[in-house]
Amino acid sequence: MRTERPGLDALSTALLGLGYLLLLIGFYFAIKAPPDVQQGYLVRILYLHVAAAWTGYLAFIVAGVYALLYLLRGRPAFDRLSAASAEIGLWLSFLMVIGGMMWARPTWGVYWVWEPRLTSVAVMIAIYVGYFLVRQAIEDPEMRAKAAAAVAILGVVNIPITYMSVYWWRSIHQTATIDVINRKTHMPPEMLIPLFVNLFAFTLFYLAFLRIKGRLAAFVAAREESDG
Amino acid sequence: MGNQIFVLVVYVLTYAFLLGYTAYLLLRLRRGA
Repeated sequence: MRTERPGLDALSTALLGLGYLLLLIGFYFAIKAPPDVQQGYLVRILYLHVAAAWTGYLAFIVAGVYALLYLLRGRPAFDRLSAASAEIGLWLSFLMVIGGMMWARPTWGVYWVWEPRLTSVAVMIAIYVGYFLVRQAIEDPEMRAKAAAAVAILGVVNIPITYMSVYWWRSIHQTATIDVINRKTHMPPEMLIPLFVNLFAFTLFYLAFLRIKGRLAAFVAAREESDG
Repeated sequence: MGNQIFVLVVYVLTYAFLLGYTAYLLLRLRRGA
């Protein structure tokens, strides 16, 4: 039996369309936002750097949740979605690190320094690179899914450490732009708007990418099964 | 003003990634793989 090609569904189209629209609006507000007292217009990097960081964390947390669901229920779809989410998270983390490095050079004088936040981010990236090495190394699908799930869950444990690193070990990296624990921010609304618009846009992109990748992976799995 | 090059790099790279990844996924959907 020939498996139907997945195609672009209505929900993914809507998520992508709205994502691009919000990205444009976010760009407009980023240009309109006032310069920072100390950093001038360099602060514009923040609107993308923080959005990539947050959605990267989100992607890794979702990968962990799907990994746990796989271990509990054993449905291959959970494993496919966990891998898809981890991959998107890894790309977003690379983007966050590049953005951070471009911000660090003019403000700290170096692209990289082994301080707690950057080090914990490096550990986070190493865990998810390891996740894909594990997936590559194990041939048996069930063993592969179980081992990968263990790494994805381990990865989630590291995320609060990465997030809190700027508070637990004060160093060069600034603290959170929006302190979600104490519900405080030191940013004026003109700066919060481009940040939130970009954050929303990135979340929509993440959801669209996850949905498309999940459907593609399901299609490939179904085809392999029908081909024997 | 010289620092604006860093902002430009981040914006160009981020938008290029989002566009590129979207195109890559759409292409895979079309090819069915």
